[in-house]
Amino acid sequence: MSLQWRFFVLIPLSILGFVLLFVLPDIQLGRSGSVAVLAGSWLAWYLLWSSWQKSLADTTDTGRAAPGPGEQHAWIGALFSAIILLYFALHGSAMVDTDGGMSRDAARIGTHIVLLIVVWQVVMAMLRRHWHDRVDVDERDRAIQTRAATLGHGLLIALSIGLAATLALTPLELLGWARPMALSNLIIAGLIASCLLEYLVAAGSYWRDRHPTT
Amino acid sequence: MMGTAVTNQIRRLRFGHGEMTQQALADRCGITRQTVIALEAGRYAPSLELAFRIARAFGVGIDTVFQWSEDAD
Repeated sequence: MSLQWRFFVLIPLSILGFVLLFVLPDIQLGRSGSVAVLAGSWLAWYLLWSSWQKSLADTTDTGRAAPGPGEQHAWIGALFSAIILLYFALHGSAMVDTDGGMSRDAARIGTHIVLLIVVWQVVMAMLRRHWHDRVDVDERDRAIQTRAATLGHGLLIALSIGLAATLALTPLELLGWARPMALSNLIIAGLIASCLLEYLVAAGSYWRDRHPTT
Repeated sequence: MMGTAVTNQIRRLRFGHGEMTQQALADRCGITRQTVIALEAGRYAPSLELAFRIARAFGVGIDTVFQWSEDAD
């Protein structure tokens, strides 16, 4: 199957796997059904990843500048940060409703987020193994990452000051929403958003570097 | 990344050294191939240390590899 067709088939399958595992409410598939969905999703994600690597190798053969390790890390980080932030936005209200209680819903949401982080780390570990005999970070990568981190930290500082000012300056009777779980969710969402910005700025810098306008 | 006032002869030197590949130069200097591409395209100015490493990889002086563009003054 050509690479284009592989992407055509695997991208929808990967999204479907993600939706089944993380977006849809709990559906009863039974033990074998759950294992099949999990295994199928992992297979689709793995094949998508290996197809992507193959397409990068083909690009390298043509002499064009393929994304380097730093850029791949940045795009994958941006993708996973965006997915986690989206998941948080979709399900955060369910956590707020529990307001500190260890409900089944809150535990399920927490488990899914941890699972996403584990998948992210597995993908990164596979990438590191792929690049094990090559330099994957050099001074140019560090310069790009430093610039991106500065912006990410800037966003985090702005969000923290905004939250602190809101809590300090808003009359108490208008702070009914500011329950512990809501505040904790806001802080975590801000943290993920700053990571997302950092990865996006880094990925954008790499991409711009490979696609100069002049 | 913006263009830089530092120009270089890396591409010419690579071809003069048995058509050394970008990856081979990157491996010798401890950098990524993407950085070699950015250097050759004039989109990245290396640190002094990297400039020395690149010059050593070709066995020439640093001023043979890198020049300051007079247009930048």
